[in-house]
Amino acid sequence: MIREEDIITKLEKGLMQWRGEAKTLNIGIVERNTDGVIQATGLSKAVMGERVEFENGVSGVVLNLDEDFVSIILLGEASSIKEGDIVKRTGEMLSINASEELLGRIVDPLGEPLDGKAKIKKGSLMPLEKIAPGVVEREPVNTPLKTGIKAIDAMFPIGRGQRELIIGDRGLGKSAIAIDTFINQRNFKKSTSKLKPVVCIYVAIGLKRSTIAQIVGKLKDNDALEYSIVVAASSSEPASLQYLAPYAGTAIAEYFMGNGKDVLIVHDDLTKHAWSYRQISLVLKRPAGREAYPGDIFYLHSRLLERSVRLNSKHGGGSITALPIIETQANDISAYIPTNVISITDGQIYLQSDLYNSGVRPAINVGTSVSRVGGSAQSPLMKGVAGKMKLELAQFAELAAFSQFGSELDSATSAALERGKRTQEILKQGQYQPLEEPYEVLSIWAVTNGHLDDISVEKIGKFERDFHQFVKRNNPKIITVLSSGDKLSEATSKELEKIITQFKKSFK
Amino acid sequence: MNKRLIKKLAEDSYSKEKLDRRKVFAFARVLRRRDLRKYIRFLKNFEDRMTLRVTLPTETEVGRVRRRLSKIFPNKKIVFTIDPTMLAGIRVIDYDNVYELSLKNSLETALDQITSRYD
Repeated sequence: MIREEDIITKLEKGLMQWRGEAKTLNIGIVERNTDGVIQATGLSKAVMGERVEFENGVSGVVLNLDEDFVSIILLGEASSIKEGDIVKRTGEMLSINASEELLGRIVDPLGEPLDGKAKIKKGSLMPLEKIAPGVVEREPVNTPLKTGIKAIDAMFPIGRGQRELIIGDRGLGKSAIAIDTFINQRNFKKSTSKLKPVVCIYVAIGLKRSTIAQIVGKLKDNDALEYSIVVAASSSEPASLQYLAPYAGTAIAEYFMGNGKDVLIVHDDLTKHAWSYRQISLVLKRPAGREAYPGDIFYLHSRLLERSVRLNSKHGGGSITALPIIETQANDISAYIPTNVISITDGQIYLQSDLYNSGVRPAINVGTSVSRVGGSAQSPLMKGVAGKMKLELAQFAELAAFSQFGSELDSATSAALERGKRTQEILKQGQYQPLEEPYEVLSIWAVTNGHLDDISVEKIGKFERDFHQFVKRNNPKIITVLSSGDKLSEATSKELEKIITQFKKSFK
Repeated sequence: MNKRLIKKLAEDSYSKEKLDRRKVFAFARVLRRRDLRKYIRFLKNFEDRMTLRVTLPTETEVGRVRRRLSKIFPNKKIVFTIDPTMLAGIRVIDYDNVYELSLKNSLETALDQITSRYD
């Protein structure tokens, strides 16, 4: 605790030591204030992307440099700025204050707290715009990021440093996948975990405040908020803040990655991000292209997502895994923004509405979803157990369509159909119920080795829950063996067969 | 009439670096209202570029400062303002460049530097 006398002594000392120096400023005069964009004359030395400050303390960013004026987007309240006001250069590019204190906090894209708690102390100033690490600094993605969702970890595994797009119509569970992934990272905080703990950043772009509050509540209830940061630019914020939010989140992620940590960042959602950038560009009178988006709409997302990397050990060994979310209209993944982001990312998880409506949740379309990193991001255990699952499900989808014709089916086709139904059923998972890898493997091993063929489809869910409880209670050693992630040995397979046979005797 | 042409008209309104009133009235008569607004804005801008605004705390130094600044900025019109709150020093505004050498500003900067250490 600093005493009053110490403060006064320090102030006096500072004044005595001070040397008067002339200050040179480059200023501008506000000519026009329209829709959150200011046109100002002067500012002849301003550079693109520079932060400027108005007389009332509001900041802005220079986004257009014209012959006779500069265009500035406001990062705060526009109503108090009038014609003739002075705006001055700060000489700084837009940056955000990042430190460990951000963990568990909710901030806006300028780093100001929104959760009503104490002000965040000064840490490192991270620039919002930064060139992505070069090829030499990177390392191939080969460490899994476990989502805890069986369908994803088995068939579309995500690695640390990968960009995996989550795409689908509204209300299909895109944000739910992201939140479940966040919740699952609590398992890697334990000292016994082989994998590094993950810092999670949720960037809310254009969402309702009630939705953001709901998400924060869920993270808190599941003890996930303590290692998470929420960067919020809700729908009531100016388009400028919504435009900056993903860059602010990535800048914070780069701080932790620079300290050797693994970071998971979710951009929810980039469709609204594109809309906010379109709004800003139209007000700045930039030429409109397809669907009224500006010409550099691809670059908007490519430069953002390229910053999600896995660095080699020479550069700290940290990583940023990005899960951008795109909302489609009527399941159309061939629209402008979805195709742009699909071409940037290393795979996509495609959620389909008819699957959702038929009760398959998470409603992942196995045929169109892909992870371009694939098995490199899977443990040998999961790779061995889930290897043939995607093929079986793809065959099931084909045969299911064929079987609707009502003709008599041969025994092999019937068996494949029955197996497919059970595989589809086992992959269903409740929201906020991510599973640790040993339990995922138990379920997937059971279905791919035919141990569920004699269980009716309606009872698969109950079977899975009771089986997990049974193994946890009676055979905890097998959980420890499976936790190692090593490939399933003959002895372990035989042990598992013994356990499931024993369980089935008591299962009703 | 496009913006570039209006700007050219505004540039041509000057003779020997001074605003020619006859030309200004002649141009103003033929321009439409919207173009006239742009023309006036350009004229104001050019006038700002050719004017040096100097702020001093008292009137006593005006003559001496005018002589010094006329040598440094020979082609500029110098306009003086008196602001006693500056305490001492001088402030010179050359279009969008502000040269702040006032004691008031120096004290405010020192205070900002000291208080920012306690953030």
